[in-house]
Order: sequence, then structure tokens, then C-alpha cells
Amino acid sequence: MAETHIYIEGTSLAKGFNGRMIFSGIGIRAAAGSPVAVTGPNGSGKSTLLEILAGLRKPTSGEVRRAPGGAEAIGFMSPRLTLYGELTALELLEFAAKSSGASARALPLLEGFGLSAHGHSRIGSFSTGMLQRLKFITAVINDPPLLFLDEPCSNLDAPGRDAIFKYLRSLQEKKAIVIATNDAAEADFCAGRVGLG
Amino acid sequence: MELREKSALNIAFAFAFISTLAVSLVAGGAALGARERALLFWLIMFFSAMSGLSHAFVREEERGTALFLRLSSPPAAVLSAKLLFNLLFFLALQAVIAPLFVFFMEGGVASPAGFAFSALAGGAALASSATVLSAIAAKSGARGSLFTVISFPVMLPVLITAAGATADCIETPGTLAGSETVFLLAFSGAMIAVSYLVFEYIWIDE
Amino acid sequence: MKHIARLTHIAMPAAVVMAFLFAPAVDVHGETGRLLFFHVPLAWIAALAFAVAGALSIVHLADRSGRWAHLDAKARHSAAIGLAATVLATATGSVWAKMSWGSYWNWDPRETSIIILMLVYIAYFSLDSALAGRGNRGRVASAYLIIAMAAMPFFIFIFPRLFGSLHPRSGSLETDAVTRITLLVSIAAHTLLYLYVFSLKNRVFALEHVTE
Repeated sequence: MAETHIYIEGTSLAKGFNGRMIFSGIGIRAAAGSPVAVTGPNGSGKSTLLEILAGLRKPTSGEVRRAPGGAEAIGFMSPRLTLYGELTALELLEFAAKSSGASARALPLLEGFGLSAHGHSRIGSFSTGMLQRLKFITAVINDPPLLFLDEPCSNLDAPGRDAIFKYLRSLQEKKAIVIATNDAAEADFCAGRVGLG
Repeated sequence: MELREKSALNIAFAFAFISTLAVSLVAGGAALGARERALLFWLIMFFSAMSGLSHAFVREEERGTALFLRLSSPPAAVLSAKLLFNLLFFLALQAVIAPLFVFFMEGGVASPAGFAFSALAGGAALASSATVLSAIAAKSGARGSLFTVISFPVMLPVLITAAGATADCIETPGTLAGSETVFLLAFSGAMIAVSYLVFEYIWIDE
Repeated sequence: MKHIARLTHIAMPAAVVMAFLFAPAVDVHGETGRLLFFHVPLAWIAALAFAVAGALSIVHLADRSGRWAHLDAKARHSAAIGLAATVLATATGSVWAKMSWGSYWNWDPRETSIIILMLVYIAYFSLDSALAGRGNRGRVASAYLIIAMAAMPFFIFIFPRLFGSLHPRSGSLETDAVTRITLLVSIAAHTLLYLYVFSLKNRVFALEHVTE
């Protein structure tokens, strides 16, 4: 049963930079059990909208509501996220984990995504596919109820994509998910869609 | 994490080392007055601070890891970590440079304990103000020169006070330069307090 | 607003007139001593502008609900006036120094603190322009002013103890009642001028941003 008290909601969101409006009048609601995809061509502001919904940016106008609130409830991943190259994967996950319960998830997650052999390797040596998977892991390691994923499957081979979808599918009843994407499969995964641009 | 970036640390140390050597070379063994030596010491400290302490935040922005850091740690924790690192780093720097400096410059130090105290207090003052200023500089395009520009007005009085204190210690045996040291420590405390109050507004970028 | 404007229109010319005609020539300096009537108020304005900018910055950051708009811009305006005042104060002070003590600069505490204030303003505007166009410009610039403000008391406090001072202490100049009155009027006039320019800048800014 989908939990009704977990949701991400934006109303009449608009964002402008230096006098140029990127989007306006956007409404979106993602609740546990119904993930939403934000679609649109490159440059239409999908990443920005995602960041606004995650509370990393303020909209020019409009309102965002998240339940539960608080920074710990958020799991975020994005192509623009850079991880510390000189740390090893396990060290990074240890750093990102906000509780001992979360730390305990590090190894199983690494295994689940085929990275267990690289736990002690420096992230700087990772391929883009490996990085992508690791980023996803950092987003979910604290088991946050709200997930904001910007192109989660980019740079991934088929096994990687499958792993991600499998994971998302197992979680979607319990988490509110917003995915910003150009990819058909990612968009199809979602029940709802908001188009930009 | 910062410790992993050994190259940056090494550069900072090397810089301080080289400037000490350079300064003593230029001074050419001429007996400089206490004031001049104190001033030179703090000049070296200042420029080392400029090159070494800005990294606290500037490099996060440059490398793009700031977003990750922001996501994974609460602001107060980030600030605490950076503050602690800067303080320890700078104090370590001083611990290496100060003896070298005394060694290379003519004339000894009349009051070594006082010298040590005033150096540490001044170092703490520089490091604590540099941390939050580095956060500010990082947010504006991460240019090193801006960091120096905004640091200088805030640090100049620290330098003047510290130089005065150090000069006293060089000249006068048995002095602890009490009032100046307290001043510097109070300054550090104030800077740290303000940093915590203000940091969130700088760090969180909307 | 109109009152301030009118008052300024009366007060400033009055101050100028008084400075030149009404007050007797200050003792040692002859006619050039009249510089005092501008130097002191300018220094005062420089400090006032800084305090106002700092206070506005604090409120700007504290005001999470956005009740007061554009406080950061107002702080910037105050700082701009402050910078101008600082430069003028330094210039007039320097000329005065040359006349009184023979050299343009002496690094006594007051002089040093005004230079530091000038450096703070310059740093502030450098930071501000580097942040131009960014959403966090107001907040970061405000943060810097607050830090600078926190640092200020230390400097003012410590300096007299560290250095001897060539600067006349407030009572040491022989002044008679007329000179004092003139000085006070000048200070008041300059304050009004500050308020006038400040409100003008704010209003121009508001007009430019009518669309927001």
C-alpha cells in the first residue's frame, strides 16, 4: 500500500535567470507509488526544476512542499554532482551515510550494483558507468523517502540500467520519486509526466 | 579529506619555507630591529595564509564537489571541519616556520614563550577569519585574488597587533605580551562565532 | 522624504557658509583650518554609512520571510556613500596633516582605521561586482559586511593603546563656542546630506525595479 504521507509537490513554479524565464506555471506532484518524470529537450530546465524540488535552489515564484521535510529525507543524484576523487568508494559511502544503519547498507549496495570489487579503489579511477552507479548508491544509502534523480541511467550499460530499475521498482511504493530525463525507458517507468520547454 | 590533497599542503609549506629563506637572504645578515623582524615574520605568515587557507572552500567549488558536500553534511559540520583543519594546518605551519625564522634571522628571541603564544594566537586569528572568508570567496567564482582582497582589511589589524606582540617578545625578556595575545584570541573567538552565524547564508546557494 | 530634501537644501549651504564666514579662523591653522568643518563630518559619515550598511545586512539575512525587499541593495547604497565619504575624509585629513604636522601621512590610529575602512569598502565592492548577476549576491555580500563589522570593534579598541596619537583628541583643540556650533551644524548637515543621497539612491533603485 502506498504511503500517503510521502510526497513531493510543486505549485506554480517559475524560474528565471538574469531576466530570462526558463519555465513558469509548473505544477507537479510525486507521491509514494506514483513517480513523476520531468521531460523536455536539453536546456529546458529539467535539472533546475529538479534542484528546486529538492530544495537546492529557490524558485523565482511558486511553492514547493515536501513531506517529510528536512535535508535527511532527500536523496539526490545528478550528472553535475562530483564526488571526491581521492576517496575510495567505501570511504565516500561512509562519509555520505548519516547513520550506522546506513553504513551497513554500503557493502550490500555495492554488491547489488556490481561494484563490490572496487570498494577500496579510489573514485578517481572509476569509469563513468561506475561513477554513475556509485552516485545512485550515495543517493539511496540513507534510504531517504524522497528521491530526486537527474538522468539516473546515463552512461550505463544494460546490466547497470537493469540494476537501477530493479532497485527503483522495489522501492517505489515507499518513496516519492522525481526523475529528470530524456530517456524513454526512464520516463516510462514513471506514472506521471511533466513536460518542459 | 583535505589531507589527501597532499600537493596543496606541500606547496603551502614549501612557500612558507622559501619565503623565510628568501627574506633572510635579502636581509643579508644585517641586524634588523625587533619590529622589522616581527613584521617580516607576519608578512610571511600572511602570504602563507593567502596561499594555503583559501583552499578550504575555494577548491571545493573549483572541483565541483561543493554540491556533494552540501548534500551530505549539515552546514555547521562543514564549517567545523574546515575551521578545525585550517587551524591545525596553520598552527603546524607556524610550528615549522617559526623556529626556522628565528634560526635564520640575526639576533635571538628574548622571550620564547611569549613569542610562541603570540604566534599561536595570531595564527588562530588568521586561520579563523580565513575560513569563512574562503567560503565567501569561493562563492564568487573562486578566484584567488578576490580572497586576498577581502581578507586583507579583516586581517590587517591582526597582523599589526601580532607584529607588535611579537616584536615585544623579541625584545623584552620574560614578557608574555599578554594584552595583545588576549586580543588576538578574542578576535579569533569573535570570528569563529560570526562564522557560525553567517555561514549558512553563504554556503547555501539558491 | 521631502522634508529631508528641503532641510538638506537649507542645511548644507548653511554649513558651508558658516564654515567659511561665521566661525573664526581656527587658531594655528589660519583660514585653512576651516577644513575641520568638513573633515570631521566626513569621517563621521563614513562610519555612519558603515554602521547602517552593516545593520541592513544583518536584517537582510535575518529576514527569512522576505518582508523587507532589497535590503542588500540599500546596504550597497549606504556603502557607496560611505566609500565616497571615506575617500574624502582621508583626503581632507591628509591635507590637514600636512598643514599641521608637515607630512601627509603618519599611520596614527585614526588614520589607520580610516584606511582600513576604505579597504573594507573596496573589498566589499570587489566582492559585490564579482557576484554580479548571481542569486546569492545580496546574501554573500551582506555576510562579508557583517564579518567586517564584527572585526571593527577590535581595531578601534586596540589602536590607541598600541600607538601614540598625533590626532587631536576631542577636547584638545582650542575651540570656542562659535566653532563648536559650526562644527555641530556641519555634522548635522552632512548627516542630512547622507540621508538625502541615500534615500535618492534607494528610490532610483526602486523605480528601476518596478517590474519585480
